[in-house]
Amino acid sequence: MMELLSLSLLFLGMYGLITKHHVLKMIVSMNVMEIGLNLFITSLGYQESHLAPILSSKFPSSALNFVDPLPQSLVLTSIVIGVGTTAVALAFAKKIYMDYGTLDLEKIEGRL
Amino acid sequence: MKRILILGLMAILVMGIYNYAVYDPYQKTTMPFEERDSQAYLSRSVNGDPGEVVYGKSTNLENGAANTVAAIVVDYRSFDTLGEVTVLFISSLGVAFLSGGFGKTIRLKHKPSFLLQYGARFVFGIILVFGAYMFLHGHLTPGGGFPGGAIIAASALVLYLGGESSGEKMKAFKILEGAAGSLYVLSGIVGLYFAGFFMQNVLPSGIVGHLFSAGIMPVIYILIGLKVGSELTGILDYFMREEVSS
Amino acid sequence: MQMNPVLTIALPLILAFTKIMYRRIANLFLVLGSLLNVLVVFFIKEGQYLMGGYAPPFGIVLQVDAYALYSLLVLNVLFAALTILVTKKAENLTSSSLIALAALNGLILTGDLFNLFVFLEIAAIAAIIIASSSKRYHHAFHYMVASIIGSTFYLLGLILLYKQYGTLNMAKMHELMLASPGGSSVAVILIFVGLAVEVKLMPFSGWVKGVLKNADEWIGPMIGAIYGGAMMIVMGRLFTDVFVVSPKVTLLLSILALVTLVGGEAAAYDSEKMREILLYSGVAQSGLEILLILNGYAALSFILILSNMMAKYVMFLLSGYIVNAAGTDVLGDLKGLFRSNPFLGFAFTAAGLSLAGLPLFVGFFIKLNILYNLMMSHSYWLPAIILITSLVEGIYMLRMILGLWQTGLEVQETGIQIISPSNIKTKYAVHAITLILSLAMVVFGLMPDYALDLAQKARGNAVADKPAMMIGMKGGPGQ
Repeated sequence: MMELLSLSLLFLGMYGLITKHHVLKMIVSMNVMEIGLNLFITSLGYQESHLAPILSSKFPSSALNFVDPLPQSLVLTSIVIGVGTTAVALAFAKKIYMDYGTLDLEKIEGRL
Repeated sequence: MKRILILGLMAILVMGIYNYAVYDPYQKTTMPFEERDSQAYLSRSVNGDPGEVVYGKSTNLENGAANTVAAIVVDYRSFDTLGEVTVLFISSLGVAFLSGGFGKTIRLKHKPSFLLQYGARFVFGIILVFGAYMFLHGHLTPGGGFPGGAIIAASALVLYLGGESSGEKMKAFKILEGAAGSLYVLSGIVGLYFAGFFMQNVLPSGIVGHLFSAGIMPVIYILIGLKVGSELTGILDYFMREEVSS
Repeated sequence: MQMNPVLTIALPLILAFTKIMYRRIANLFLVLGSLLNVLVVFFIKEGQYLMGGYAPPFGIVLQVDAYALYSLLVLNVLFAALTILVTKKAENLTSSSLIALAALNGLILTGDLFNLFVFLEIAAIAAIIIASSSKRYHHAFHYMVASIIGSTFYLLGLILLYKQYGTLNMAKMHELMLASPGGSSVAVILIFVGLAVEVKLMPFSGWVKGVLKNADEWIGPMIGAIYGGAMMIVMGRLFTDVFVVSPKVTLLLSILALVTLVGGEAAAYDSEKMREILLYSGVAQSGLEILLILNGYAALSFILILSNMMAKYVMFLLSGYIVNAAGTDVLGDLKGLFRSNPFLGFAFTAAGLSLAGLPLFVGFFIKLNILYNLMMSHSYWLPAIILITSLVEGIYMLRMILGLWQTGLEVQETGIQIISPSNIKTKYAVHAITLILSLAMVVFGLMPDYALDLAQKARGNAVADKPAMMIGMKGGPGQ
């Protein structure tokens, strides 16, 4: 179920990214898409009643059943990449607003 | 009309991917967890089987971190993390380039209230310490360099909200950022020339679960934490500036 | 002496990190860094290089074979030449360019699918920043949106493959896929679509026009030639050495590539502007390259990728300078331009003719071999389409080049110098670099056996490679 929900979230974000032409709305859609993807990746590494992959005094042995740690670390990387792209996109939004006085890409293209 | 078509296409994509690639009731196209590569990370048995790993007891493992995700991120697949740091670095470069370099700082329009002004200074130290705790304990508990760095940047944001201006401090942040990044790559090259492999863990790995364990991992997490913290602070700072010419 | 290939990634990175502390000598960092990289490439030996000392399926590994080595050499030489030419333009972007270089090297070298994704992201963000230096921010933003959608598709496909095969290592993935290819089609298509954005395949190449239509002598060769070539090399790596694609999926993706080929050539034929012609012909060429990769002609596609990369590099570079000098790239206003600039004209002509695949140039033998091989394997509709599109490409290339030489009766000198004579250093550098590259194309065109042998060596033992019979000057299906 989690997989289906996160996939829907991903493609909902992609729908927004394709159909909207307001820069800030596009950036929000971009983030929705990234969150959907990250949820999807973690959901593929999850299994019922398995533990978080961290040894502690309560769960001290590697012989216990842990969830797949690799998707989690991939998600970590992908989150950071998402933060970076969002920052650049916001800088673009600022710059586009300064240059054209609007954030609507359709209006900008119509003006050129 | 166009939107409905695109929405339909997206729905088809969701159902198609779910049906043909994800939904798998008979486990035909799903590798069971026990056979995936990641099992070797959990049992720390990439270069030979150490037996059962026990918290607080096992020593001399190939990776001595209690947190397996951190072990993958900073040791087994450390090269990815170098790329990750580079992504943040180039984003901050991009933000700097698009913001037109150092302009004059935009002052916040409102005067921060007494509570915000002094509360921000009071909270600042606590948040900063929490961020440092986060990346110092990255190899033991959830967290690590990236969240720690982000928390440090949040402390800087609180200061900005409290009416503090960044001024000359940005230069120091730039130097910190550059130095931490170069040291990270240098630690990799040290591994290459002194141990044989790029980014090899050259320090002893210690006892699983102790603060001083996992070899070079805490050091790298400190570098990442400092770098991410200064980078995100720099990005925040660029968004609060205005071009001089405009 | 032997160098570890990771240095081609680590050196530019460390220079980029330290550079922000020394703003004054930024240019020096860029030129020195890229030259140093060329030097390092010469000392790299083939083999497998581990990261962190962890064995392949678990740790990340750099895979250096002849394919990676030749690509690395061409890419680093072209990049270093570009940084020498346009140090002024790249002044504010030294760190971004160095990181772009590191990321492109990483893309070619890495043997891990997720590591490839990380480098893809770095390269994409660097390209966006480089593209935004043209001050057309909404075009750069479009590029960014496109590449983010592309990388999302790539990661989605990658994680589905991980779910099915439980590994991220390319070599192990290939073995497992050979053993049981069933059920991986969706993931492979998703990855193809993700990369198709970067290699400019047709329905996903909307960004190309905005970015390259107004490209100068810095953005053009960088995004149009070097990035395009590197991404195509990645594509060649993934779809020959790693993924096992079922015949149905191959057909589906081939149709996409064919559409790109036809559509690109048609758009280029229709255009009046020099840079538009170049960018559309680039789109069409990438369609052809993908077609070859998918159908298993690994050696031919490899040599086509490298020669196209060089030809497009020369042409985009010169078109950037031409626009600087003449203020326009409408072909009608540039008639007779090369009469005052014979050497640069020669370089441009050689690159253009090689791209179009005319005799005497390396492109000719590649296309000849493609057609011959396809005919031998009893497919006729594919060679027919390739032949027709090549004809169209030949026509518009010749039309453009003849116009620029103005071979008609009324000879008129425009008197425009492509590079102003006062700028002697740039003048000689541009002359030297473009002439050397175009001469290389002529030399390889005259000795095609050598080039084809090299490509065969690099790609010969690729698993999916069909035993392509090579036609060279020796005549006939040799070997």
